[in-house]
Amino acid sequence: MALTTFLFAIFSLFLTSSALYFHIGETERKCFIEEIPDETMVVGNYKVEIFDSNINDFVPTVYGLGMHVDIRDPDDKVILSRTYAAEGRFTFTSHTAGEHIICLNSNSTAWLYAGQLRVHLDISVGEHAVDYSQVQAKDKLSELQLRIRQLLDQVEQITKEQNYQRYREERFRQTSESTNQRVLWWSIAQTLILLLTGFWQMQHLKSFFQAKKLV
Amino acid sequence: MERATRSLTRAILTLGVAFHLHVHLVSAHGTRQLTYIVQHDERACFSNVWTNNEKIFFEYQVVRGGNKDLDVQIITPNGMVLYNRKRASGDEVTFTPQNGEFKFCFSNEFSRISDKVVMFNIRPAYTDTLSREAGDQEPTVKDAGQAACDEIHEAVTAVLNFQRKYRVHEAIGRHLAEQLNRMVSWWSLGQSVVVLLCGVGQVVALKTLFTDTRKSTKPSEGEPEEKQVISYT
Repeated sequence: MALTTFLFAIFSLFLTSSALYFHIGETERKCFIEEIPDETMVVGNYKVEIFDSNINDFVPTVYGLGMHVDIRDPDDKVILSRTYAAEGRFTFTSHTAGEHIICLNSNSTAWLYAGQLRVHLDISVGEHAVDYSQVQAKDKLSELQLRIRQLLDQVEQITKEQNYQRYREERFRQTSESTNQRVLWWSIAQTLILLLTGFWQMQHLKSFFQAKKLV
Repeated sequence: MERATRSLTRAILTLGVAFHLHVHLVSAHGTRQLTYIVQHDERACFSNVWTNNEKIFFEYQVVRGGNKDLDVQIITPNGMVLYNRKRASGDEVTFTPQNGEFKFCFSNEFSRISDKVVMFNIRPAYTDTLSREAGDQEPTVKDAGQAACDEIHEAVTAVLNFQRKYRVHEAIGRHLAEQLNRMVSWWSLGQSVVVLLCGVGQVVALKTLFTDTRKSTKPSEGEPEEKQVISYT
């Protein structure tokens, strides 16, 4: 009885922990974007399963099937390009703030039967995953202290996001100011071009007509 | 020897349990958020399996690409379409899931050229209490301190969600601003070239007009001799 409860508990734990999943063809490529500040760690947990037509369900892969992960930073520089096993995690730390593109595709090039793959994926940014029961045991916190600690972590997350917002706002403002400058200088330049063209036209035509004795 | 194997087995078991626990905690915050690039002619579906009937909040926003629109569908485990919107740019949906696999589909099949970027997140509609988030047992009676903590937690979570939303909208605005910045340069350059070409073109056209008159007047009698000598500078 106790064993069944235990197994059920484990089972339900496993189920609730299941991440979002999607299906992918053998040559397909799926790309995700993560916008992150610099010096931030990103952890991606994934699991690949393959469609088994015999039991009409997805089963864990046993052959040498893996996942190729390609990560590019905002300057389009490759910061990670590796082939991982069918289940595991990839981590990277950003060096420049901005949009990082994460692309996934299966490493099968000549797969015997064009199989459908199911990929479970969970990408978490920053230190999302904190094991609070361990924290409580280690720091000998009372329950209320632990709750305060959880709140503190959340507030810290808000502070980080706010900081990043400031950075992005600055970038936005720089872009807007640059646009403003461009509009200004281009309109001045265009006015000059227009005046010069007009002036040149007049001069040229004048000499032309004079030469033709029309005026 | 036997003792060693036993302790080893125990260690492996503990490790296994710890791993499960860890995996559980990774997604314990309950929010799944992804930003995905939907290629042209592509239909992308993301699935999630629910085992309880807690209300779920689903939010999406097309960040960029084309007219910033996608066909969005939510499909229930028995294949019914729960939510269906054509050419939507963003929305919020709250629904109660049944047991089973829910599909969230983004279709860009109507678009031939433009790739779209869509951000979506799926989270419980109501904020979990702190004790549940830490994976502890829910206390039957909360004392004043714990109740206050949970209240703060709700407020702080709301702030986090607003921040998330703000971030997406800021990204849309920033992308637009960057595009404008680039466009201003190219467009102005183009216009300058057009003005210059127009200026030169006008002169050339005018000159040919007068040259034509000269040619047509050339055979006619009574024209002065000097007319034939024309400099084309």
